[in-house]
Amino acid sequence: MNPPPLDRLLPAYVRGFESYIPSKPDAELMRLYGCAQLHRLNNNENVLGPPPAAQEAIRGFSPPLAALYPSGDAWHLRQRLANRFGKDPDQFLVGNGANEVIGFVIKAFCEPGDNIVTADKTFAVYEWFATFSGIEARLVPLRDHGFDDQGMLDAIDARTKVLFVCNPNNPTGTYWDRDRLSRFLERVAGERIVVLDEAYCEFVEADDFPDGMGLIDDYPNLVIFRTFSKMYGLAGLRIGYLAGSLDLVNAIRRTCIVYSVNALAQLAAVAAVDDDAHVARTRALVRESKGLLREEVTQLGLPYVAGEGNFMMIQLPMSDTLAYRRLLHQGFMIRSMTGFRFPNWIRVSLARLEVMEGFVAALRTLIAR
Amino acid sequence: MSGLLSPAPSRTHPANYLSANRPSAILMDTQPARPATLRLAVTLRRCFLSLCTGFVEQSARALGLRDREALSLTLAAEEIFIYLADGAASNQDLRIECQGGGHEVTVIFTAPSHTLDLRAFNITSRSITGDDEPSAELGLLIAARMVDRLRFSQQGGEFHLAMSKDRAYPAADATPFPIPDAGPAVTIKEPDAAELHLLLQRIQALPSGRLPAEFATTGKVVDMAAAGVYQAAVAVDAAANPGAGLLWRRQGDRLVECYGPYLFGQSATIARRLLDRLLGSLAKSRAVGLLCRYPAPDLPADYFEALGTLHHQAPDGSVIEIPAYYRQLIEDAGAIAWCHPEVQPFLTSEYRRLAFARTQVPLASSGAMVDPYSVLTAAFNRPAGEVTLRPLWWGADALANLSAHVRVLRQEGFYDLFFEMDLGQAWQGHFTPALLATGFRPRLILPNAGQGDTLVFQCEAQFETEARP
Repeated sequence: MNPPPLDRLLPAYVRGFESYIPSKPDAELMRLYGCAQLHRLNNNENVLGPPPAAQEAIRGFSPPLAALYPSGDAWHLRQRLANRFGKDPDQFLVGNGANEVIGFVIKAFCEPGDNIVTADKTFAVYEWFATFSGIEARLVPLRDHGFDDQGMLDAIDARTKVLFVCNPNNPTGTYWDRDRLSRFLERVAGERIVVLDEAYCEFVEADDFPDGMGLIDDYPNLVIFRTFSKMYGLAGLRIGYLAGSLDLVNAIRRTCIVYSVNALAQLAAVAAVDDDAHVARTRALVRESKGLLREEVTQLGLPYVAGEGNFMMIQLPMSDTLAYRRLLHQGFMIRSMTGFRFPNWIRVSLARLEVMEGFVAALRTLIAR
Repeated sequence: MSGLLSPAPSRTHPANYLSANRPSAILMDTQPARPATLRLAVTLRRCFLSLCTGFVEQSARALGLRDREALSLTLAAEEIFIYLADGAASNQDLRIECQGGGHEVTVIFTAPSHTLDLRAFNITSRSITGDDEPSAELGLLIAARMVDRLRFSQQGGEFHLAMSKDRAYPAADATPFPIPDAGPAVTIKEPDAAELHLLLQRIQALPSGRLPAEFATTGKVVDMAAAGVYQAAVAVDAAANPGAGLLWRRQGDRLVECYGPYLFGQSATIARRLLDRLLGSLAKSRAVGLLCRYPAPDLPADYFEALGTLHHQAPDGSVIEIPAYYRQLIEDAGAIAWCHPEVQPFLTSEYRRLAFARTQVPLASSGAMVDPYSVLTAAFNRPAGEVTLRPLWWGADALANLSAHVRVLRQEGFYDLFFEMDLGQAWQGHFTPALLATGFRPRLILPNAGQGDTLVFQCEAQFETEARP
């Protein structure tokens, strides 16, 4: 049988999209790059793992329960989130990672011909999901490594449906403070959906960082994204959520995939959500590692951007993709930033001190070549 | 398998063809002289020759070629048609597609693969070496010489033979009118046609530097940019006068090649801003690597990895080392490289230097059932005196075939002979002993340039040091 005529079957906006190839499993990378150990400093995972109660919940999961469908709308978790944030459980939608809830929002509000507005150098999935859905992604250049509020407002036209703001921004760690965010929301004037992606908010220690959850009552066009993949160490189980006003979330629910979040992820998230001691421990680790790395890269004379979040960006005097390969040969996997439109920069996840010391040694070797 | 000089033409849905075994109507997609595709389906019989040539000639004119170029393309099509109709393809279905409307017109012949003797594509086909009486294969050779590019590929039991003829363009004026110097650049932007023309004039006026052949005709590059083949970024001053620029184009499926950056009185920072612009446009694209084989003096070295050098013999006989640079655009996920033992030390050393994760797989024996004949394609850059050979088919006569190619090409005045071996296709590695025996030496690896990496050999045998004739 002849192969299907993909050129004719695929929409042009899918044909022109390049699929994302995730990195290979650790064992395969170690074989390819000939390293005896591998430290993943590329995905901003929490090296402390999940909170103790979540670990206990995972250990206590009864295997026969795997035969049963999970709660289709993460009922228990939504109760817990509502209790923590003082909201109605129906103001939350839970997804298979925050990536999935990005899709819920774009599918709910956009059709071909519409556009979204976000930054050019930020978490890539807003742009990807829009692009392969036939929606234009308007990318506003960062200003001083931060989202440009005026630039985003200028990019709005009659077909703009959603504005995505990553706060704090991945990969720069910059953030809008309360006043700036409020001014932006006032100027959007409820005419469009504003998504505030707070994937890294639990890492922020700055006093003027806004609490997105607290703004929902004042701005019914505001959607908050959060994840259990970063601070709560559940990246392997894929679970995240969005929150917003009741009417807005009810509208988005129409494009929500039910039963997409597995039972184990729901159990672990319920156990994790109130563990503030875990947050404090993680923040302390990140603070210490960030201090060390700042000091070391300053000594090396390398420019860096160290904002909020469990990561830092470092500028290298060489191609970042070459640095990726050479550091991998030494057992350290970082994120090269050419794909983020930051050529010659790398993003490094902050891990335990001894791992960061090893990374600094590898970085010195790299620079010395 | 493909032996293309550029990506294979896109397949066209069969519904667009009239598939009767009799002459069919000509379908036209858009207005003449604008980008368009015209198609003819016909049976390979001599009685339809004039239909074929008439279709090609009229299409070529409608798509913008002038008399001389349209006639060349028509003659080439005539030779191909006769060769096919008189050979094993007789009475088979043939599809002819004329594409163009910009800087070139391309005619693509599509017919069942088993009907074609690939040996005819060797430029050293016996017919032209004087060893034998002229044969049917001579027609293919004539066709190849009537056009600017000839590409061949096979897919799904069919071959696609694509012949391209460029529109005629006047050469760039050697003494262009004086252009006022640009002030300090304030903006990086995509140039319009006038700005690109100005940039190309400035590049032409540079005192030295190796440029792609088509840069000698600025109008052609402007048309190629309009067709999306070239893209560019310019740095303009407050009066929109371009004082720097960078051009790029796709090379195959996975690479982009850049030219420049060319600075005219601008600071080195502008070179970085131009490259940042290019790299930003390639982020999240399907390109995995950026190649630079025409580096300008202001190329920021820290943006690239040095792949090595190729030799270029200058007209005065001196030998120049031409560096090639590369930048990987995505995180390398590793790959395999089929490896003949005789080049393994070179590959091991280069992969270690470049830090690429490659699993070198030794070649298995080519076995007892070896085809008797090998086939090579040749891409010519006549102004530079360069020829790049690429394997189309492996056969037992590889040594004799390569030797004949070297002899004929040197006789024709081509001194820079290259051979590109796709390390992602095991069968190509079998050419290694013949290459080494004919004076080719591995010079550099082009990562991701083919199905796998491409190993570039250069012929160093009898490298002449005296001035060319």
